[in-house]
Amino acid sequence: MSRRKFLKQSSCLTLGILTYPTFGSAFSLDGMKDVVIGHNSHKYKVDMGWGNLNPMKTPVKDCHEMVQDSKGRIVLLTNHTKNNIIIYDKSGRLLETWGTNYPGAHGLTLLKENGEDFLLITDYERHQIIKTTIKGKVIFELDYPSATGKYNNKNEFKPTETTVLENGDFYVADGYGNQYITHYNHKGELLNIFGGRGTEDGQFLNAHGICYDNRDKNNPCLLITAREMNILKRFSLDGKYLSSVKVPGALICRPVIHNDDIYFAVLKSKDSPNSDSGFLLVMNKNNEVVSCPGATAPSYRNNRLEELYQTIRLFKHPHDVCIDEDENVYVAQWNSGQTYPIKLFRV
Amino acid sequence: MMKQWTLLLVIMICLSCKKSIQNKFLQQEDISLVQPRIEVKNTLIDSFINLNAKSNISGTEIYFTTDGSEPTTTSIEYDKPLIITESGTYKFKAFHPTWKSSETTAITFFKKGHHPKNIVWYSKQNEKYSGQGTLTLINQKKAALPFSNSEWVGFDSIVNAEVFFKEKTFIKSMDIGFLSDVQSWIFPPVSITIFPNGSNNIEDIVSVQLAELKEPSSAEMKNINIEINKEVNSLRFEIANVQSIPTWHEGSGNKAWLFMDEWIFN
Repeated sequence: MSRRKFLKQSSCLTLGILTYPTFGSAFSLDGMKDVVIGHNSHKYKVDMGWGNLNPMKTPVKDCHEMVQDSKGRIVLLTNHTKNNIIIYDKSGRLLETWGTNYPGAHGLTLLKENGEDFLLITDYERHQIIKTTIKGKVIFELDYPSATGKYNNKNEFKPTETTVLENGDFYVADGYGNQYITHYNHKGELLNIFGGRGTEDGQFLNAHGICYDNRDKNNPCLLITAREMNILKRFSLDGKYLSSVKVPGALICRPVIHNDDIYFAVLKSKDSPNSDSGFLLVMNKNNEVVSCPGATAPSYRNNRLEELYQTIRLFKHPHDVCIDEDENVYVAQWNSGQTYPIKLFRV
Repeated sequence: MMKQWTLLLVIMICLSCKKSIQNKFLQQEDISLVQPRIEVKNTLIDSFINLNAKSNISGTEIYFTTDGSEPTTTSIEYDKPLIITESGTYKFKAFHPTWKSSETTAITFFKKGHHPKNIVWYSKQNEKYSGQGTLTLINQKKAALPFSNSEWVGFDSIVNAEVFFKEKTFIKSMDIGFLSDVQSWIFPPVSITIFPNGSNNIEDIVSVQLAELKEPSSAEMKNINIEINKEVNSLRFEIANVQSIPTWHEGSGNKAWLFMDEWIFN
């Protein structure tokens, strides 16, 4: 590495400083070979050092999900009970930590009420959804929906994700349990339940992630991942199945909407010799895959997306993505050897 | 003149600042390519099998060997699909001028063997991993990675089954395929005992002990060839799974999974 740097510097000198910065980026490509991942409109450089902390003081186990709060801070949820929530600034500096009793901390969603930030945490070991302030004060704890008759006991309820509408209604995806989607009002009163385990259109295997999609203001809907099936399913807000978007080979975790695009962490490639064969996936406003950082370039043949799979051994098991206002992406990983998130810079 | 040199110095300092920002990015030389993706319809050869090897990073070259050695850039370069007619193990590896080369991926081809008439199960496979039903292990189709492939049959206890042939058949040797995927708690068998014609006679019994895994390894399809050299009507099998996972593994002390692939009678 040092030899490489030296060569680059000396070549800059001999070629003359004046060529910089016009050809600066060309040098960096030819000399340094920065990793650039992704395709078409969504390409990124990779910063593995972002957010690395002292594991003796601020440890992580699985980094499950991340969101950005109203102040622009990056909020990470891990199932390490020394500090379930770790809050960073965008440069990766540690700001604060809290939370010691979320052993199955999995889903993290930000919601705003009267200008104040709150969090919805799903905990599949506690079989609960917990609403907290951004500082960690518990507002309510919601148990399994026993009144629906779809559950014999709390152990069948292992919620993985939530999503919130403008009116405060929220939905819970039970991706590790009985695969139902439950709909609540802002107080946590049950309104509806749909889905369930199965391979029918309106059912799921591993309903892992859910996201409110209001990109089309006149036709808002729900996007729900059936991760084991490599399918993104669209539902109406009252729980009617609308359509499916197939992503062959990609175990998509949860949809994250940023501007007109949908971003996903892909836990792993379906048929790969390696278990840790994950990557990322980006869909445009028409739900077409346009970029797969860390994997094969998306290509459609007869309107069918060809199977996607990892091409470089960069990501382990990406579990969630968070996109900031600079279009940069933060990647939280599951079962990656207790590593901190990775930051991607859009190029 | 002095002013110009100062200006140059300032520019250079700026340049080096800029560089230190760039240098935080991950470099290609730090990251490996994924193993070449091998596409075949089957690994049991009837007449021939087409093999495609792919890597999706431009500038990548794939090299392969057929003698069991690790591929290097002096091995045979893969430049067009292969036609496989002979049994053996092919090893592939991807190389690139800037990315780190991939791990090696291996694929083994077998000649189709004698086709048994039937298989009788004295033990049960795990319901979740029952493959294509009771005949999966003699259906003349090899499995592929990963373990969720429907040609694998998964067991969490000792395997006990008997294979029957239509008529008395001379079996020189047989190949037993299994999976080693410790990340998924799937270990190689501990021992394989074969009772020709169901006989319990100690002279007839063929027994093989397999070496215990001493450290983690990546998922791999494995095969063991066992000499039989007998005319038989049937062969009964007892194949033992790991009863206590070794201490280096997160599942230490628990039972391990055993995943079986095609049994081939040569």
